[in-house]
Amino acid sequence: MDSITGLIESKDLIARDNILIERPKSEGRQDAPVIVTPRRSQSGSDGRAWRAASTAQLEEFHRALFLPLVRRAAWRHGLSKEDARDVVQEAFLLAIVKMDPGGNPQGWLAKVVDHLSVNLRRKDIRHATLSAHWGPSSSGVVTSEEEDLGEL
Amino acid sequence: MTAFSRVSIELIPEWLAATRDLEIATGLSREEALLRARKLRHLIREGRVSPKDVELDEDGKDVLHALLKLLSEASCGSPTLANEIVREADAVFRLIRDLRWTKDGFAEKAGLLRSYAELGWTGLGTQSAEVDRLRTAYVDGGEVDTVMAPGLWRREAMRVSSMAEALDAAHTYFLDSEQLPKTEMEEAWQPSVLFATCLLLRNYINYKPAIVAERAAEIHRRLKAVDCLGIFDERSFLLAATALLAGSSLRIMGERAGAEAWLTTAESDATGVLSPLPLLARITLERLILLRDMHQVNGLLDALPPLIARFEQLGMRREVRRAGFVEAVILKAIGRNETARQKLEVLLADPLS
Repeated sequence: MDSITGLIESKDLIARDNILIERPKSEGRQDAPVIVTPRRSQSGSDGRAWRAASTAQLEEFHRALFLPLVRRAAWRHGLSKEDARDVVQEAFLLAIVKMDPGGNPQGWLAKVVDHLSVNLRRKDIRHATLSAHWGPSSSGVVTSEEEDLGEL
Repeated sequence: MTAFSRVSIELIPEWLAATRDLEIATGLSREEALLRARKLRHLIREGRVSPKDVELDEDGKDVLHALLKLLSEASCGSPTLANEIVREADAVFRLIRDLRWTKDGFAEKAGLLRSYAELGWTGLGTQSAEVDRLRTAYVDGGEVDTVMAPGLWRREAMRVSSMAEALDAAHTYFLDSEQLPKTEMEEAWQPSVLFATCLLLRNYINYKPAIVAERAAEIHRRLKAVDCLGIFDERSFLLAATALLAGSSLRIMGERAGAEAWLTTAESDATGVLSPLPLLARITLERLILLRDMHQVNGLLDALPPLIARFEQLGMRREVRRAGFVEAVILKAIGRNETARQKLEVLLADPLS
């Protein structure tokens, strides 16, 4: 049985692996995937390590929780995949602090991802509008303040 | 919370720790997904994609989202393309509907199905909210002209152009004739005529339940055998509606085991409907009435108020009254006559009566 992408690829399209692939941010080429292994460096000074998730569990997490939320942010809210990834990671951070584990965690996460995505879109639009009005290209003159902002 | 979601949620801290300083794979890039979506669109147009032959992977999900974007953009500002877009959206809807989608904790499949149907309905000049409203009115026992959204009549494949014509055809093919027409007869087996048939059967249910049970069951059996009928979820809706009719009429006839079986079928069929809540609420009420008929009144007085609240929330006023009447009858049966009288007086004061 073909996958949808396999079916398309068999018609001379690019093939690509879709398992959990990771690579260090500043190393390696884009097309050199590395399978993530869970870290065990989180143990406390007393040597007591918290339960480390297995690779299989993290892959399952990636497939069942992370990717659906990334797709939600990317396709429903029009974010780039990179922005969508950051939004989902931020939602996970918020979940640790604010989520009621007794409630509906999936509904909660979806809602938070929606809110964060909308906020990011608004911010991007506001930034683009301000840039169009006040950016260097609008007047052709770059002020010292704009140079400072650029450096920031 | 399901075991799956509990385990997943508990992994969040470990996920964050494991992925710190790493760039996490996010599936296909938008550009790549759009590129593949164009190819998939081409294959679907040529009829070369069957859900039986493909399985869905994570990249495939990105491609289905990208295809939705492509079709949405193609439909913008091109009224002449509307029918083509509806056909394409319907083809993708069927593909997604029949694909196996494992561990869909965020209802991604349902969301995509809804989006494709919205795209198609918009192409027909109808908003999905309007379709939902009219179907709810249908389930609530609304008037015959509220069965379908006006835009749906403009569908290319429609053989009837008005509700009056649909009712005529329903009489001719499904009520007056001794045998149902063959399913190859497209003029009879189209959603508008079947919707009209269901309306007519419902009107007969209290005084000709045997005929309604027989016809509804037969229509349901034939619909099951038909792979494709109408657009989007119309076949599922009609399956659930006919199963509900069969169950209700058998209950009236006192055939409780048969009624129970048909109501279970109706529930199962309703899962294929995009907005199943009105149907499911109706089915629940039929089940409660069935229990009352069997004198199993324990728990019914607890179950009815939330159901009535659900009917009110959905704007189903006739069902609110019907459920309220059942509640009053049960109260009377257990000797709470004064409360029953108060309930009935509230119903009498309702302007709908």
